[in-house]
Amino acid sequence: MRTRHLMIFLIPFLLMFIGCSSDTMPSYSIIQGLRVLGLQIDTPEIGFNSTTSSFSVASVNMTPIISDLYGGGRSLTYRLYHCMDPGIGIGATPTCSNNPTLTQVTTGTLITAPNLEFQAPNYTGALAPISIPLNSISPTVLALYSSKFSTLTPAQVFNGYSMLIFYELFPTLDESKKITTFKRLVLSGNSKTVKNLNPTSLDFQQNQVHLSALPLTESSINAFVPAASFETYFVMKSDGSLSTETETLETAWFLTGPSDVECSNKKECTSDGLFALSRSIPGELNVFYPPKVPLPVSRARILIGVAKDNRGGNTMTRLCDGALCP
Amino acid sequence: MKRSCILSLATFLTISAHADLPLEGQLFIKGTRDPLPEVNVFLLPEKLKSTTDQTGKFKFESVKEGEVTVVVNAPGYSRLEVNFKTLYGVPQKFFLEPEPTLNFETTIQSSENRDPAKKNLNQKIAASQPGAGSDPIRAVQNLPGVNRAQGFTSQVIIQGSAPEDTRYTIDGHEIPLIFHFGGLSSVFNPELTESFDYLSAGYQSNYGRAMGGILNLNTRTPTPSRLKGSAFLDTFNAGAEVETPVGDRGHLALGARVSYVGQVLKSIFKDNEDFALTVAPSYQDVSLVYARPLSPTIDFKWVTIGSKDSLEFVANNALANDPSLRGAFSNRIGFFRLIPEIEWRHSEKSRSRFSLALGRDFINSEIGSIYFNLKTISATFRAEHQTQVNDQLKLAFGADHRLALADVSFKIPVITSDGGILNPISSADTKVANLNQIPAHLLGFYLNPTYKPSLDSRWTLYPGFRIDYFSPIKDLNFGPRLGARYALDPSTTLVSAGGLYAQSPREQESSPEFGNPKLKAPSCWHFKLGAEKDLSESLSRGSEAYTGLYGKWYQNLVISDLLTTFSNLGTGQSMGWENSFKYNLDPWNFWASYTLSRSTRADPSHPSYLYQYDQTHFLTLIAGVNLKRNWRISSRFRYVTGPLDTIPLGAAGDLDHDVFIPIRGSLFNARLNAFSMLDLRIDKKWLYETWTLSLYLDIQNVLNRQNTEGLQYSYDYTTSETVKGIPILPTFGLKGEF
Repeated sequence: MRTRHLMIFLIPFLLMFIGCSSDTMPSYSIIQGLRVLGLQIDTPEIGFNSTTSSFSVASVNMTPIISDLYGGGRSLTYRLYHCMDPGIGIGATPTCSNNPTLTQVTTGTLITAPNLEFQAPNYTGALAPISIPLNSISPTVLALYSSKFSTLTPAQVFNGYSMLIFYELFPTLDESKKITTFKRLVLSGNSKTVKNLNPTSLDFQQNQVHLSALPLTESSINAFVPAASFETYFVMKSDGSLSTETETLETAWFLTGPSDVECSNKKECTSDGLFALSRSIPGELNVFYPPKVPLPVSRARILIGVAKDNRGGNTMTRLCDGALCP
Repeated sequence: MKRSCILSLATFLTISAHADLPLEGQLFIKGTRDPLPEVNVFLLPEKLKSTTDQTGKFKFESVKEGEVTVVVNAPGYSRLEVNFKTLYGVPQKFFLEPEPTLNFETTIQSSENRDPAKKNLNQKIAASQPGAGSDPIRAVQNLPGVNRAQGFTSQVIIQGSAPEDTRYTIDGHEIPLIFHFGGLSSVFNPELTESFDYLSAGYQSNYGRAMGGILNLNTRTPTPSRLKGSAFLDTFNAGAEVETPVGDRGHLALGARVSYVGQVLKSIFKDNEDFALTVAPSYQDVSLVYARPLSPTIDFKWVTIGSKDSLEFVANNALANDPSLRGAFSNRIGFFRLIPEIEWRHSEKSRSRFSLALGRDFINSEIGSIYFNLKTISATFRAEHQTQVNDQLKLAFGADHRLALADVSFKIPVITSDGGILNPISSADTKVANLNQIPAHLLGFYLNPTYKPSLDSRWTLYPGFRIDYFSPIKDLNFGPRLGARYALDPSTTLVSAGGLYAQSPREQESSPEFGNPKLKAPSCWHFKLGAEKDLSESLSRGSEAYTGLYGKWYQNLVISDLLTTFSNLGTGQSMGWENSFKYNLDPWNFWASYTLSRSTRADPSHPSYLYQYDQTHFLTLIAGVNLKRNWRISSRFRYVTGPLDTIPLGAAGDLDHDVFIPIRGSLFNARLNAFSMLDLRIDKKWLYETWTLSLYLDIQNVLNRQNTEGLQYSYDYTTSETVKGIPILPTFGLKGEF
C-alpha cells in the first residue's frame, strides 16, 4: 500500500492509457439501469459543539434523486445510515463497517411511485425527503464525535469535519444489484457562524432562455445558476488566518437512454440524444446531439442536472420531454 | 538516435613510386578518415612488407618500376588486393571494405576488479538491438532481472523492486530521470555514451541509496583527430553530434536532439472531441563532453547535460470520470547538470577521482485548479581514491554527497493508488503549501577494497561498507557489503555478493508539511549467488553464460497511514533465478535471458500479497545475422507473465463529487494475460570515401499482438475493459556520419 502525492507529474502517462481506451464503457451521463443521481441535504453544513456533544439542528432532511428507468415499477429497498468520516480524503475505504459511530437511520421499500417525479412510466426523479434525526444519536457515538473534534486543529474545526450519510438502494428481490452511495454532512465549530447553503436553483437554458423541451437539432445549451448561488465563504488556514473563497459550481448532466440490454456501447447509447460534456461549469456551453434513431414511445426523455458547490451543497433540476411526462 | 551497426571502415591509400625509389602511402579508415595504425602492407611480386604507423603511414624503401600489387589483409576488414603500375607522383586511391562484426559482446566484463553485481553494456551493441529504438539504455530491458515496465512508463524496475528504488546516474551523479516522455528515448545523447552499468542485487559500496539497483551511464571521452560528426532522423526525433579537437590537447563533443513525437500524437487526437492537444508532447536534450589532459598525470573532463519534456492539452470531458481531471493540463519536466571531473594518477598503483555536478531540476504540472511546481538546486560531489596497497590488496574509498535545495509550491490532492487503482482525486483532501529553500543532504562514505589472498589464488574478495546519512529524517545507516569471486577453472567463475542497502524516503513522504518526518529509511538486504562461464574465442566467436539466484528482503517500507499519513510498517521480499546466454558464431549471434521471480509485499492491512511488479517468467530471445553488403537483420522475442491488477469488491458513489470510490479487497488479486512481443530490425549501411550512410527499420510488435497492459473500469466499477499496449510500431531511421 502506498500513497503517492506527487504522481501528478506522471499523469501524462496515465492519460496515454486513457487515450488508447475503447469506447465501449457505459457513460456516466446516460441513465440506463438503476442509478442514484444525487443526494441533497437541506442543510449541508451544521454546527457541532464538542463540549456539549450536540448539533445545531435536531435533524436534517435528505432527498434522493434516483432512476429505475427500466425497472417497470419494481419494488426497491433502501437503507440509510451514517458514521463519522474514517478519512476518505486521505485514502480510507468509504464504508461504515467496523466504524464505532455507525448509526442506522431507516430502511424502507419504494413500492409505488411516492411522488410526482418518480412514477410510471419514467421512474426518474426526486423521491420524498427522508428525515435524519441527529438529536437521537446515542451518547456513546456523540462522545466519539466530541473526542474526534478535540483532536482537530482549530482550522479543521472551523472548516469542518464530515459525517458520512450512506444511502443504499437495490431491487428488493436482488440485493446483488445494490448501489451504495454517500454524502457528507459537514460538521463545523460554532465559531463559524455562516454555514454553507445549497445553491438556490438551476435551470437549463438555450440562448439565455429557459429550455422546456430538448432541441430537435444539434444545439448549444447551458446550465444556468443564479449569481446568488455562488456563496463567498471563509477557509481557515493552518496559521489561523482566514482566506476568502468563492464557490465554483459544477453541473453534472444526466440524460435517459436505452436499457443496458439494448445497448452496452457508449457510442450507440443515443436513443434520447447525447451531450458533448458530462459536466459543465457556469458559462460553459454544452452541445446536445439529437437522437439518430426514433424516440422511444413507451416513456419520456428526461434530462437531469445536479449542480454541486464542492462543499456538500447541491441543487437539482429536471426537464421532462414528451407526451408521457406527468 | 542509434548507430545501427559497427561503422564500416574505408582505406585510403595514396602511393607515389619511382624506379628503385621509395614508395610511400597512408592508410585510413574509410568513411571516418581516421588513420589505420599497426597494419601490415605487402607489396608483390617483390614480397616487401611495411607496417603503418600511428598516422597510417607506411613506406617501402626501394621499389622497382613496373606493375606491382598492394595487399592489405587486416583483421576485421576485407582483403585488399590491387594491381597498378608504379608511376612516380601519381596518387592511387583504394578502399578497404570492413567486415560487419556486430555481436553481443559485452554484457559481462572479464575483470577481477569489477563489481560482482555489475553488468556493463556497450553503447553500440545495445543501441542496435531490436526494440531498442536506437537507444542503448532501452536495451537494459533485455537483461535478466529487469522487469518489464508496463505501457508507456519510462522507469526501470529491477528485480521486483519499486520503480522509485532504482537510481539513475551519469558518471556517478544522480539525475532525476533517465528517459524522456513515454520511455521513447533516454535523456543523454547516445553518441556521447560509452556504455552503461547495470547494478543489481549485491552491488558494491561505491554506490548506494537504492534498494533496487543503479543504472549508471558512462560518458564517452572524445578523442577525434579532426572534425567529425553525425546527424540522424527517425520517426520520433532528430539530432546531430559533432566532435572536434580543441587547442593542442583538448577534445570537444556536442550533441543535441529534438523530438516531434507530439506531432504524431496530435494527428491521432485531432478528431477527438474529448481531448485536444494544445502543445504537442515534445522533448529536447543537449549533451556536451569536453576532455583535456592537464598534465601527464591529470585528466580533466567536463560533461553537460540538459533535458526538457513538455506537454499541454485540454481535457474537455472529465478524464477517468473524475471531474478534477478536466480542463487545461500542462506538464513540464526538465533538468540540467554541469559535471567537471578530474582524475589524478599519482602513480601506476594509485589514483584519485573528483567530480562535481551542479544543476537544477524543475517540474511544473497543472490541471484545472491543481498545481505542483518544484525548483531544485542540486549539487552532488563524488571523490574516490584507489590504491594498490600490495599484490593482494587494492583499496578504494570515497564519499558522495548530494545537496538538494528545493522551492516547492503545490495545491495537490492526496492520491491513493493502493492495488494500482487510483482513487478519484475529486474525493481526496487537497494540500496547499508554498515552501522555499528546503534543504536535503544525502551524505555517504564508503570503503570498497578488493582482496586476493595470493597471486595464484582462485578467490577474490570484495569486503566493504557504506555509511549513509539522510538529513530529512536525520537517519544514519550502516551498510555492510561483501562480494566474492571464485575461479573454478579458467572459464568458470562463481560469484556472490550481498549487503544492506538503505534509501531515503521520497521527499513528500518525509516532508513535515505533507508526510511524516519521523520516518526511518527503508532498507533491504541483498544476496546473490551465481556462476559465469566465458567460452569466448574472439569477438565474433564463442559463448558466455550466467546463471544465478538473488534474494531481497525489504524492511521499513513506507506505506500510507491514516493516523500519521505515512509509516514504516511495510515489508516485502523478492527473489529470483536469472539466466543469460550469448553465443556468437560469425555471422550469427544469439542472446537469451530468462528470469524466474517472485516479489511480495505486506503491511498490517494486507498480509503478504504479490507485488505490483511481480513477473513470474520473463524470457527474452534475440538473434541477429550480418549479411553481405552491410545488411543486418535481427529480431527479439519477449514473453512475460501477465501484469497484476486489483479487481475491487465494489464501489461507493461519492455524490458530493460525482465519482465512485473503489472498495478494495485483497490487492493485486488478478493476473492479466501474458505479454509477448516480436520485434524486428533491419539495418543497412552504405560506405563512401569520406562518410557513411546508415538506415534502419525497427518494428516493435511486428505481429501486432494486442497485449493487455491493465484494466480500465466503468465509472461505477461494475464493468471493466482491458487497456491494450502498443500496436505494431515501426521506426524508420536514417543516419549520416562523416
